[in-house]
Amino acid sequence: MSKLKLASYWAAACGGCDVAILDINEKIIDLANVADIVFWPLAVDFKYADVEAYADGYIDVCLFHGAIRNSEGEHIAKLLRQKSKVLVAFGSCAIAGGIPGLANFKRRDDILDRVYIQSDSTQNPERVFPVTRYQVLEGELELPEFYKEVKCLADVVDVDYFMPGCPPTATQVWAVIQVIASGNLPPKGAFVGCSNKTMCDECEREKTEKKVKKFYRPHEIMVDPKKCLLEQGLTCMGPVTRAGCGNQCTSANLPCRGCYGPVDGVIDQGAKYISALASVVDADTPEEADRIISEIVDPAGTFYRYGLPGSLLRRAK
Amino acid sequence: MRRYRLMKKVLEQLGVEDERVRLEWISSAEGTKFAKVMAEFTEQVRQLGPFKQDQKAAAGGEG
Repeated sequence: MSKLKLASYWAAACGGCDVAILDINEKIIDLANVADIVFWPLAVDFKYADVEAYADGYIDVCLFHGAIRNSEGEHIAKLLRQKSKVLVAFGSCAIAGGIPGLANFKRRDDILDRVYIQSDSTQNPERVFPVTRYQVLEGELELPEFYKEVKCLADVVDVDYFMPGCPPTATQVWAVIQVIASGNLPPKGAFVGCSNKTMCDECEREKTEKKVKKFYRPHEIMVDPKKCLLEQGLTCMGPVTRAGCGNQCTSANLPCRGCYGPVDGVIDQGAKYISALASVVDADTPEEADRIISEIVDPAGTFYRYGLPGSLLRRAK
Repeated sequence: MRRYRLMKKVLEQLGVEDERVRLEWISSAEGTKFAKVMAEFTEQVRQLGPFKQDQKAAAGGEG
């Protein structure tokens, strides 16, 4: 069998997914034995023009990170879809918008105003904003169009597999690469490199009755390293989050932030968490319930931290 | 009730007006009340109209 042709691309992402691939460490040599990298902006010097020159379906597997924030992201997503046999939405951003998706709490104009006018380090008295086309002596310059909102990869192209995580852990990356190299592909649309249980199912902390009188942020309390974090009043997303990360945050006494997204069959992770979290509120009167709930800081941002564009509402209205 | 209060708080942050969501208890013996609440609420949402944002832009290509 000839070597796999592998591509990796980042749209609206932080680069952490690329680092997660590099975190397979010395196995990167093994990767080079089974695969040729034909496009990977972070690591190798191929240009868009090289990809355009490939025949359709030339790339065996493309790991696509990042949300779709602008027209460049969408253009390259479509190009890579056309050139790839298998397209993987790699990481929380490509799957559901991720951290860049939090921008959907704001309107496009508010974001541009904040960045180009209000931010403390900006001096822009002439109110210059980026434009998509600009004529200079040497010719026309072009910039991608900044979209009204952040989208998921599957909003703009057909996606074969979804690999969750912010970022997916290196062990899972390696496991998935091995599966791909073996040719034993899972059914289309599957979530790979993860489990279909919740974090709570895999969490070894001591769980008793969940009754919370007051919610805290992680820095406000000394965490008991053995007890369930939710029972200690931390907004741990474990009950509604897919397992597979190796419980990294909860092992470090930090509540699960929900980056692996919901398990199969759950459409809206945040809504599911509203239900889970409200059920542990231990109030004797409606007033007390109000008090306890009002103390949760930024509930929407917390519950939809990695998935606002992929949620039912998609954005703030 | 706790779920409803937390959901309202989340919806508020997401820009969904308070008047779009309402919780009522109506027993099967209270047909008149049911009709009244439904008529009232339908009218209220109609007054509000669609969300102010172009929410449908998401799925389309235009961004």
